[in-house]
Amino acid sequence: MKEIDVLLEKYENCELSLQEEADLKRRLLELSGNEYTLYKQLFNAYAELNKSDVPAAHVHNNIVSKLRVHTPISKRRIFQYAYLSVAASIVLAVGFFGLTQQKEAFVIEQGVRYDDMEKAVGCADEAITEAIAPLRSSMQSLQPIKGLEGSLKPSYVATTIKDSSYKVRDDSMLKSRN
Amino acid sequence: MDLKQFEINILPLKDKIFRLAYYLLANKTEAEDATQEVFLKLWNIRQELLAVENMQAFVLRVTRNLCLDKIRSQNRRAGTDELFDDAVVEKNNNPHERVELIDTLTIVRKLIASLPETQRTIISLRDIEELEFEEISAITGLNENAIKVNLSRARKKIRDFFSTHPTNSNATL
Repeated sequence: MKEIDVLLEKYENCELSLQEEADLKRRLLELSGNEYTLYKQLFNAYAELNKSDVPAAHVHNNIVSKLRVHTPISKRRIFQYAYLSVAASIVLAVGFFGLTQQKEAFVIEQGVRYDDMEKAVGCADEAITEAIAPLRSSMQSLQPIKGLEGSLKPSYVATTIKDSSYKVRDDSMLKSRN
Repeated sequence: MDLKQFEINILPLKDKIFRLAYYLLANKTEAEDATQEVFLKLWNIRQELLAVENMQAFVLRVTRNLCLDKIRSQNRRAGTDELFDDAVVEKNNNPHERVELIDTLTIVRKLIASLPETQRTIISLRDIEELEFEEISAITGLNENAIKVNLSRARKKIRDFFSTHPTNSNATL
């Protein structure tokens, strides 16, 4: 029995590895002549089926386009936009609330907060009056000092003369103009 | 797994998917539809695919299950319709040889289609796809011994049918 017959028998009994089967097919297809025609045809057919039985070209494109349609990118984007819109709303709300809070008028006087504008003004007025009260009283105490004017007369007169000379000159200038 | 990874890792298996579907369904259009369905199924579970060790075996298993579901739903025995198209052989320059090869391919397809489903799946995976027994086991769920028994029967049947076929009466062993 030829070696190749033994290998063919082993092939049919599935006793060969994948590599041994490939070697057997290659050896048979390389053989010339009419021997083992049936196996040659069979092995050739298997190899040819592997090459020729492929889907039509449009199948690949169909698959890719279907996969793209079924890609949930849009879904993810919607979620992202939803989160973004919620975040933006919160930022807007906080900003608006902060701004309106800042516009409120109030005065804190000795640890007491006055939110009412009129009350705040009244309170400020009182505080100012209270603050200038000592100044007023000190002005009153300065009244007697007016009696000192006589003692300062020379300088006072000199000033008066100087002032009146100016006045006279001014008057003369006015007259000449007229 | 994103679309780009899917296109790189899974899409190149489309020819194998198609062939298995073709031999199981014996109809080119149905096989093409099944191929597209398989890819959509795989796309829907793409996150689980990251954990798959043998992608080819997994994908072909999905294909086989889908085709068997189709066969069951149509309540027919797969392969009996004999709807195989004529083989397309373009690279052979000799017209006589080309016609002969087309005839041979048609006969072999029909012989494969006449086998029981398990034998048909196994012979297409071993003799056409050239897969290891381990992978065939992962696809079919059968153990190695069962695969070898089925494959041996299938090979002998094909050899016997092929040698007695009218168009092949002059072929010698």
